[in-house]
Amino acid sequence: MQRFSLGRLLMLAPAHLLLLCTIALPSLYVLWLSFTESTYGSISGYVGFSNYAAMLADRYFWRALVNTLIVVNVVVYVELALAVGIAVVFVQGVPFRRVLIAIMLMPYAISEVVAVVIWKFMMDPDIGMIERPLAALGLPLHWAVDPSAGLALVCIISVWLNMPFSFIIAYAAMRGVPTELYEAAHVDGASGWQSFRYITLPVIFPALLVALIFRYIVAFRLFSEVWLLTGGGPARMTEVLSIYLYKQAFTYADFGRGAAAGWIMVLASGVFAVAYVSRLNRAGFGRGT
Amino acid sequence: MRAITRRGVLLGATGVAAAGGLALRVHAADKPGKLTILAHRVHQLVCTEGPAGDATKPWREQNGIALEWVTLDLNAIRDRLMREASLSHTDINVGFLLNTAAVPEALALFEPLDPFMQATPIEDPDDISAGFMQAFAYKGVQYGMPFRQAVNALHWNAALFNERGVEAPANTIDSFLDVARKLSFTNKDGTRVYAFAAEGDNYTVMVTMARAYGGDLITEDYRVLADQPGMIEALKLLRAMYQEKLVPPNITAMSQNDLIGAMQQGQVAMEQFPFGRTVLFNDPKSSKYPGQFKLAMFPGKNLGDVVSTAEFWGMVIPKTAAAKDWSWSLMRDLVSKQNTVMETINGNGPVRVSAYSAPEIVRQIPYAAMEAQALKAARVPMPAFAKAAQAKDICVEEMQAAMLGMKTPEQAGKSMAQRLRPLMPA
Repeated sequence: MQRFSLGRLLMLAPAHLLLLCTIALPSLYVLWLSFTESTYGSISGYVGFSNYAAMLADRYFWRALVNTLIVVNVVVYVELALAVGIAVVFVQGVPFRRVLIAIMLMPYAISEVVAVVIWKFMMDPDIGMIERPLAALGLPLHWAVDPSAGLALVCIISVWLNMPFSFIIAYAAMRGVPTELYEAAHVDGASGWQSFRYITLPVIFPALLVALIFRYIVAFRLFSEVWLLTGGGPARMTEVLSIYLYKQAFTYADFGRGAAAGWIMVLASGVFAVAYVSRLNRAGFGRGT
Repeated sequence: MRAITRRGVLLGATGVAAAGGLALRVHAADKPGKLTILAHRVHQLVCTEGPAGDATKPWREQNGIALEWVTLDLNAIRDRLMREASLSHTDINVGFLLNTAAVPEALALFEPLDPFMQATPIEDPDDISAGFMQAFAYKGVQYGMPFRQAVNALHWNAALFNERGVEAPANTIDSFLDVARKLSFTNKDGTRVYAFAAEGDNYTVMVTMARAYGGDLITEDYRVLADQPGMIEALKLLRAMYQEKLVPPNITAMSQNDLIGAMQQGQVAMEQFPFGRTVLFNDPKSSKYPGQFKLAMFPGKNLGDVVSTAEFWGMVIPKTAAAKDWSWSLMRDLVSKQNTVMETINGNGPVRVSAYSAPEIVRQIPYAAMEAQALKAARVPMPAFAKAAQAKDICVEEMQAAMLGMKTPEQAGKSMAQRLRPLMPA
């Protein structure tokens, strides 16, 4: 392994300094804050782990954690499955490919706030262009009053908003699969499914893993969809961790609890992401190689 | 004694002129190019737009200072203002603070206004309701200048009432449900009309109903009455209205803008809002029923009872802001008698008693007398205390639980009271 000389380290220093200032120091500040009792304009002192203890004893925190885990898993896996499915169709060839790709990417260019407002309008029980036909079919989604339906709509909106990211990664990876592999499989008499299962999937797996990690981490801090759609209601039943954090920190002005919630979110997302990804990584590469 | 010479006088005059010029230059250098105001959009509108025109224009032109309005939603204003005021320096020169947020911990972040008041007092300070002034004071120090009161009334769509053969809203709370039943229907043009709607993440309507039944949520001396008969009746009424589909099925997720839109489009027949909103409901540019929206007092237990809730806003100057003299100058101008009248005509709820007798207002605002009457009886839904934000969330949660049938009204009321009591100040 090549050793870093002082000159090289100095040249790398600005980047390290930037990371230190923008990520490490604020994170440490928030960590320190989580051990204090703090509100607007005052920090009254060190309180040890009491913010963490109070949070872990709070049933709303646990409900928010469970809701977050449900939403994150549904969103990430449904999104990835749909992205791969659509990418397969695109790779096989579709008319007006460029136009369709542009259409596919559109939701990613739309602001979350605008998207949620539009979805909320479309899902209005009386005038919504999606909700009314659903109700006519006897399948109304009572998203405002039924917590499960509320979370389901949050998942739908989140998948719609973020699928372009997973799609473009899956599509680019599929375009990079050598055609010789498919030709060889064809000669050997492999079916379409077998080609996908034993050629496409193992080759694109590392790219999917990257998409999975990114989406997992981003989905964990899901906020706008819930905040703008249900506000965490009815009766705080659809709260997710980021809403819990926001309320603690900025509605109740309890920065200590808010900071503790932030660190719990980081740790929880980190632990779950590492566990999932390492397991998938082993399983995926194990079968693929 | 030293004789006064011509040379001495000339030198002295030169010195004074130089010092004066220097002072003027310093003053000019201190003068900002703009002042940033953190407010709700409604505050900006009543100050700058409407039938009476822009009340800030003379001040801006006279002083050569532009005004930049940063407008946010209710909770976001408080959050942003408190965060800005906690910084070592803030660009926010004037902020609008709701009375429920004016707790001692928060007020400590703002500049005491008494020195400004003594140096350049506002016009006729006694004309501003003492209750409003006290809401922004702590231990005798004034931190905020009242600007807007939002006294609630019942707005109703006369066209929809006529269609159903109903003359006017219920005149007692006991008949509210019966009248509401008549007003929930499908319109001639196919629009589904609901009798009533309220903000799903607010508790004001619940408190109004509890007071109409003779109860309350929290009294001025911090007694929690959420488990008492008045509140239980209010929760029962809300629950009945939801279960009988007299309110929109997505009521728990309706924002203030959703409510305004629903009212303007004739999807809801009655809503509780501040008086000034009638201008918006009757606006021909955005309303399907311009001129059809009328006002009534929320009905009480007995005929003629006046039940009304109110919130009010004050202007504050963050301690860490610059150009405080100019901020005060602006605040002083915005609460002048003339500007109060202009702002009232633009849709503001005036904090000056004299505004209700101003000829322009009597002439242009038909509901002035009713608002003045409501103002006398109005009380804030909840008194200010440090944990008011938590209390609000608890109330909304229990109200929604009772309304949707997750809890019985009695269970919700009991739970609300149990959870609120530990939050009350000692």
